[in-house]
Amino acid sequence: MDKTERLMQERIKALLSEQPLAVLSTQRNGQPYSSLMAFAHTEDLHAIVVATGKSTRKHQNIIQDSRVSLLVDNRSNNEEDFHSAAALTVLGVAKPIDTDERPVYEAIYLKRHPYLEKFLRSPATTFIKIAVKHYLLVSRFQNVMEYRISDEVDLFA
Amino acid sequence: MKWIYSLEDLPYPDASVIGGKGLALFQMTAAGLPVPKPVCIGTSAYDLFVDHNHLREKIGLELYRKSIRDMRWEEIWDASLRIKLLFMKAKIDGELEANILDTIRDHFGDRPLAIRSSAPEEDGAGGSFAGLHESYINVVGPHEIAKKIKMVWASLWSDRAVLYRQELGLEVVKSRMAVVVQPFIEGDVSGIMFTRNPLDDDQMVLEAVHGLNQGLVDGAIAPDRWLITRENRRIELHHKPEKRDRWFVRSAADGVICDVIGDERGEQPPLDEPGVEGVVQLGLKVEEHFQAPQDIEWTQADGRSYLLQARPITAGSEETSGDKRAWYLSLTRSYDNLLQLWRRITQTLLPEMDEDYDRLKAVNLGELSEAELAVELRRRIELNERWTATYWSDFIPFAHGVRLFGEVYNDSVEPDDPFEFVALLTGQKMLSTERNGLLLDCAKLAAADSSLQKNLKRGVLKDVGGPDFQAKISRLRSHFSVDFVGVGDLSVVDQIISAMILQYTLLDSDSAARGQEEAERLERLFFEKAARNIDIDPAELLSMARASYRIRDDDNIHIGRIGQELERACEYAKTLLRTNEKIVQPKISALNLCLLLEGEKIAQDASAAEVQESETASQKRVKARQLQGQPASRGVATGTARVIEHMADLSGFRKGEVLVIDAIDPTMTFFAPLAAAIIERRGGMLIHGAIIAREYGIPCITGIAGATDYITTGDRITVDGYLGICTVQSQDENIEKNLSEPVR
Repeated sequence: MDKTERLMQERIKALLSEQPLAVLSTQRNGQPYSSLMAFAHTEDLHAIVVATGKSTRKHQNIIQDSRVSLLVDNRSNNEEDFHSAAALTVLGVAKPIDTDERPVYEAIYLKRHPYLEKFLRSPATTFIKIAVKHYLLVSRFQNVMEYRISDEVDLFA
Repeated sequence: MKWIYSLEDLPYPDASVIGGKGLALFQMTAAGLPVPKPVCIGTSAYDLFVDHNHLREKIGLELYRKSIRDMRWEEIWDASLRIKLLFMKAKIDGELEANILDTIRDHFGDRPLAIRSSAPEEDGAGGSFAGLHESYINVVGPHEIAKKIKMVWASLWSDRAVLYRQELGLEVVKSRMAVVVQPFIEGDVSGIMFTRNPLDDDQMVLEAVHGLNQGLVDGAIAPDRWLITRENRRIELHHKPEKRDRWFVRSAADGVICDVIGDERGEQPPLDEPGVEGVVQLGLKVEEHFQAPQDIEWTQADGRSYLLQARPITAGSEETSGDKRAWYLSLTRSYDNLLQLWRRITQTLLPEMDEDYDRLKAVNLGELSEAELAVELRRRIELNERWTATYWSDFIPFAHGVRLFGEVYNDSVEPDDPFEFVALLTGQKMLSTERNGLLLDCAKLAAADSSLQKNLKRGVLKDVGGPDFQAKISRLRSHFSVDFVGVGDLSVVDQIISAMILQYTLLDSDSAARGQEEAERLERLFFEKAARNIDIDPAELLSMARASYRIRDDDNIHIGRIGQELERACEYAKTLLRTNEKIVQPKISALNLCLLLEGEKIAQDASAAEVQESETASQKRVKARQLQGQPASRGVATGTARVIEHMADLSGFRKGEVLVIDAIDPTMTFFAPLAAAIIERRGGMLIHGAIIAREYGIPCITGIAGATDYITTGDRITVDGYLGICTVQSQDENIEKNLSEPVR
């Protein structure tokens, strides 16, 4: 891995680690739908996990079309955000987590959000893995860098 | 909310409110020292002004476009110019303005005023801010007062002030500014004094000039200088300047002017012995008050002495190596200094350089033996080094002429576009535009001659076309150093020139037509406004600025010709050595060539010739979608990127492509007219790429760090020259395709 990629990874990880919440966007019949979600990421940046009620609209949307987008940012809701805030757009595909891989992802998720243990374990909750394809990092108002996470991503498809 | 403070406001607010200078002046006045009565506009007024006009985040966006550490000084200057114009265009809140103007009128009536910066950081920041921010004297009338207050506030964001704060590790965007207002004292004699000589503890240093202090402070006027023994206050030495022919006096309008001094006054030193004694007494009083040696500014009017400023002399003072303020201060040049440089460059340096070039060109290198060629090569290396040094010492500083003009233009005209002034500088006869005209002429000949076109397509220039064509090619070569200094292999040059001529056949020659009328309108506007605003001749300033702008481009061409002659001798040396069956690596230095010619044995590094650069997989993984730089020439264009990493890449360049380059060398600005847009890694409004882009009305962004790394030849890119944003469309859209089908 060269310096550029390492640097990009570090910046993405820093942002993902410091933010507990992300905006998840799904869609149905062309109608976009955004929701605020607790999330956690894997160390290799290949996956982001979220949990939601099975009956929620976002979950229904994902069943229809698994392509999703997430937005994570570190804005402080002050004027200086325009020059100092960073935002990360994530593009990927959502899929249910298999039983055998669940313990690993559960550990990651609960480490970030220990207070959500009861919610995560509820039979009405579904635990979703988003296999990341692209990260787009926006900084200094207008700088946009794209990181294609891996060509192997499709192996999980 | 309290915005303005006078001596009655006890206890005095601290320096974070009225600045270091303001507080010192209050304390000195209270101690009975002869200070012109001060009133201070606090930092709260600055805050209100900045917030009222939403300037805080605009400043942030300007200065954090990229890391300040990655910005070249020119880019910071550009940002400063934009910020200053934002301040000038912004309105002071009505209640605040009324409060300030009423207070000033109550204290000073209609007297002319001095309006001076007072930075809060001055206390305890570990560095002195003296001279970094602006002060104005002889300010008259409410409109001018309000304007000068805004200019003092804006001077917080001058290039040198920003750089200096950065150097001191201060958080740049959090800076604020207080303002001191005092009655203007029209001094007959003024000066400075160190109550302890930084170089000799037993002495005091006193400097004085006739008239006002301005010329002395910025170094334009040489003062009389006295060294005085501290112990017995005896004058040890009186050093007189070479001549006392000019002085600064109050201008009839406002501000000050530098004028010729009358003979009678000029023959007299500004102070006689009792005069010196008087200033020494004043200095000692100040020192006693602060209980530390002081650096003071003083003036005398109608027989009375006034203390204008006092600050402690820090240990070692000016000579302290850690203090770089002097360097930052040197970033501006006085008008007089620029006029001198102008004369020196046009009357002495350029003709000398041309003579050197003519001499070098006349040498028949093919006739020389190895030993003779070694001597010639050494002469050329030495000449090239000497002219390169001159380039840095004289030509580069003269570029400040353009900056000074830009600042005066913006202060006088207050245009919407902070770089409008550039239009007044272009459209003159620059060597690079003349050279582009020659290329166009060659292209016209080629367009009418199909056999010539065929030869050009093969990259052949020798003996093709008619005598007219050959004459133009030879003129191109000899006058404009198109032979690319540093290209190494001169056989590539003919190919590049041929390719360019062919591209020029596609150029619409009318596209170079400029807004001449618009420039004339702006010129009239500038003369009219500047006549009211400045005390120097606006026409002379504009001529100087035009010379500065032109030479900025031309000097490189002149110096490029010397470099080209060095390169030519190197090529001859290589050929001669190889003819004599000696091994010569292609990338050998000129100095090593000399050694080989002189029969020395040197170790040649063969691996240096092989520099392989291949795109790694990860570079493909990290791609730029949108890159931000400095908007340098307006307009929007989309095209295919042509990334120039090596000179040879230029031969592939086609009309309508977007030129992406580390830095456009002035010797290659003739590519610019062909480009749909230009992107340069190097930043600045006044770099060659930006100048030529504006000249031809081509969108341009400069200062995109990593431009040549993140953009690949063949990428579709859109260049927004209004905002300085480059958007990259992906060449490989596989992943988009993967994502474009619903996945269930």
